[in-house]
Amino acid sequence: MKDKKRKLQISGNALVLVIAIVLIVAIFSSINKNFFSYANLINVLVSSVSIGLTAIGMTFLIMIGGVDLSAGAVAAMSGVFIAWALQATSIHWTVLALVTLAGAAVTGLLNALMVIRLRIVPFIATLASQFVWQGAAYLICKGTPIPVKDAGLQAFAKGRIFGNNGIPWIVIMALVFFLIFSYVLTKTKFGRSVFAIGGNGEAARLAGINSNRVKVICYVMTSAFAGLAGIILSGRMNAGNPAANESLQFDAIIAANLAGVSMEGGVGSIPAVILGVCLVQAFNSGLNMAQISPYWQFVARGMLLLASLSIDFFRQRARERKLLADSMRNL
Amino acid sequence: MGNVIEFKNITKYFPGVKALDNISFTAKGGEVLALMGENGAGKSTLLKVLNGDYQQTSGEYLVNGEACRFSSPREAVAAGIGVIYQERQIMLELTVGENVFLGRLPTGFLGKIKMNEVHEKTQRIIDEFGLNMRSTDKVKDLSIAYQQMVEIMKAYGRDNLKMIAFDEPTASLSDAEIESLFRIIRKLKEEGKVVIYVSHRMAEIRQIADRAAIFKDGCYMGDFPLDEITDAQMIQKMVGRELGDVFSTLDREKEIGDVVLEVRNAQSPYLKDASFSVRAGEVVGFSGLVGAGRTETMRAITGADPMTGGEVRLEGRLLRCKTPHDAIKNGIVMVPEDRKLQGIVPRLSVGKNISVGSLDALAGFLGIIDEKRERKIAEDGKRDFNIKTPDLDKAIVELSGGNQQKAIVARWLGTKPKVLILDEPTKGIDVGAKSEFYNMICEFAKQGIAIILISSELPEVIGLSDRILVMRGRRIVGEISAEEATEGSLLAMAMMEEYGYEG
Repeated sequence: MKDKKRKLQISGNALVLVIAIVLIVAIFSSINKNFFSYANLINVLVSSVSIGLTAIGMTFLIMIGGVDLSAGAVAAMSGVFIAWALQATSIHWTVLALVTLAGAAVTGLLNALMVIRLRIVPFIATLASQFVWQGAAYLICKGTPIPVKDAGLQAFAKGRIFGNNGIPWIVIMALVFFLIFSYVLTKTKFGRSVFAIGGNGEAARLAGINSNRVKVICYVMTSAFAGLAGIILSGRMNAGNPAANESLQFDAIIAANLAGVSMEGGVGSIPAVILGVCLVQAFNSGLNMAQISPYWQFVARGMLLLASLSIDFFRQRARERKLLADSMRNL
Repeated sequence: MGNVIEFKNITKYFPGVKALDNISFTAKGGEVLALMGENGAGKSTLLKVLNGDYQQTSGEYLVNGEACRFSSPREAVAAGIGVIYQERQIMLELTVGENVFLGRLPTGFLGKIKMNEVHEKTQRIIDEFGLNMRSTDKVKDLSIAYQQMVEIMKAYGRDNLKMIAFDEPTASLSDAEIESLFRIIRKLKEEGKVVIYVSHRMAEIRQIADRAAIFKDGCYMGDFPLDEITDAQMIQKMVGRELGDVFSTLDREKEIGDVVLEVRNAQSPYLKDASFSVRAGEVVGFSGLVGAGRTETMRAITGADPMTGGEVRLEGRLLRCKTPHDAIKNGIVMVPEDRKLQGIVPRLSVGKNISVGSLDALAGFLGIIDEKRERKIAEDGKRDFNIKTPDLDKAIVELSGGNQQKAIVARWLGTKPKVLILDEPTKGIDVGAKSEFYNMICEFAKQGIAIILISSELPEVIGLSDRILVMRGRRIVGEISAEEATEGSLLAMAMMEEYGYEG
């Protein structure tokens, strides 16, 4: 009986997300008929890949009580770097992609070092690196986007399964990553450690969990995913643009938060994040297609973040109240 | 002068715990009321309710006849309630005057602080208190005792101060400093303030307090004029418990084997000196007051705190634990004192809270957890420890305190330890669950596990241990066999420096 109740609760959260997505699609479809077309919905999915990949890392990171504000800048730098390297060298794009990913991973390692060794709060530490890598992105390309002509990278970023109107490969790749990391989070020692550290860091340490190692992996993972998002965007846009991916980290945080990944740490589920990502991208695309001015788009996204954080707060409070009421009944 | 604080049926729940149970009493101005009781009896919780840190679940308190309910310490301070905690709550970088007037600094044009006025007024209080400091001194340059005085002045500086409470104020003071503190307390008393004084030190209470209000397990045991009650009677009221039967029925037949754990002159930043040994199947009790260094000893041994001196031998082999992980790997496990902060991972399920101690053993290729074995560890734990939960997937925080604690013990027993350290294992759990724990502890000893039992519940230490070590001032100050130990003798060793307590 209790089992049933729990399952219902989980699907309750997912249900709310699905309803929200349906609502958003319905509203924007009524504003712009083209929104609910196959071509556009695929477009929304493609655009959500960057957010989705970053959100996987961000979910782990938020769960251990961290956050990464530098993800967008790392993505931008990675996109610009691979574009520059393709232009400057004749090395195969896959090798350059791996080098770029390794570089992105190093930025994650630096974030982890700042947080763990220098004990800087994650918010500030990654804010600092955001500035550095954003600056680096502009420096690499001297301020102007570098064109990407490499057919291989373009095919990777734009290719589709089942012909020209099929599903884009990168969407499938993102889904595979979601599956893998959902498994990692729920079925491995690493995933379990993430839950424990976020739920109660001191208890986790006293239970013999190597918190620092887990934290390092989470930071490195987030940056590597951001790097991958940057590479894909360069391929898709045919250019490494330092101004792209500007708010990637915020979209990823909103997506995770909407999916019930509590900023308090210790709570989260990867499948729900998929829905959160779809919601955020549908919202962003919808605003664009409704031709709402970019200035108002900023305001709207701010409100979305605020709304998701408020929901987090009320969820938390409802849980605490229920708990106290239970103890009063039982004692 | 008629300052009066009345407590009426104050009850306070925390998730899983009833910390205050229907407390009613009156504290009058012009006398010093000592709150007494064992660790966890509810004294500090009551002070925190009074100063707005906590809100009572039911009941009320009246300050000079007026019902009050403070939602923050700030409101309590504004209403004339001052609580002086052990940890000083002052700004070290500011001057004495700034601290005294913090939160209500007089300002003039454009919000400029009238510093002269601040220092003038503060200096007047300093002189009134007869202290050798200046209002313009920075607090960080003062001694600990004077820093505490600044805190008292901060409360005193408010014209409407009605009540001032001290929570173990002498813990870090020298004798001379205590004397000047008492002088101030007497002055406050003469001015008709309500003075509440929480302390474990019997001699001190005799010196300063007029009446003692005694707490036990969250209940109020009554108050007594100090000249009408002996120390022995007071201790009796603090510890008297109807648990005798529980201990006499325990099955304590077992074989005590070789020395498993040997600790020599262990030191840490929080521990001065501890040497002891524990044999297989032996239960060694650690008695002492909060802050005596019992937990700190264990934290140093297990690598939770850095060990700065001494050595630990496990089965004769030198062992140096840098992290708790090292200790666990070698078979030394600890059930921590603060279940909520250090034990449970609240939102994780009961099952996963149990298995988290065995993750190393459960993780195979690529760190993938063997879910069948994990399930088995959890189910064994639930069965062996009689954890009352409808299912193992329930979040642990939803269980009662006793069942949470059982799950934490199950976590560690699942790792097949050699040394089991239990730090206040029955704190905040109900009597039924307590006796289950007592049986379990005897059972573990029978299995040959070396057990260290830290407990502030004296009958528990006496009833379960083979030997008892007493700590005071961050060192081990005595050892006594369980047969010889009485509640009175243990409390006397722990509380009173030179106090010869007789039977």
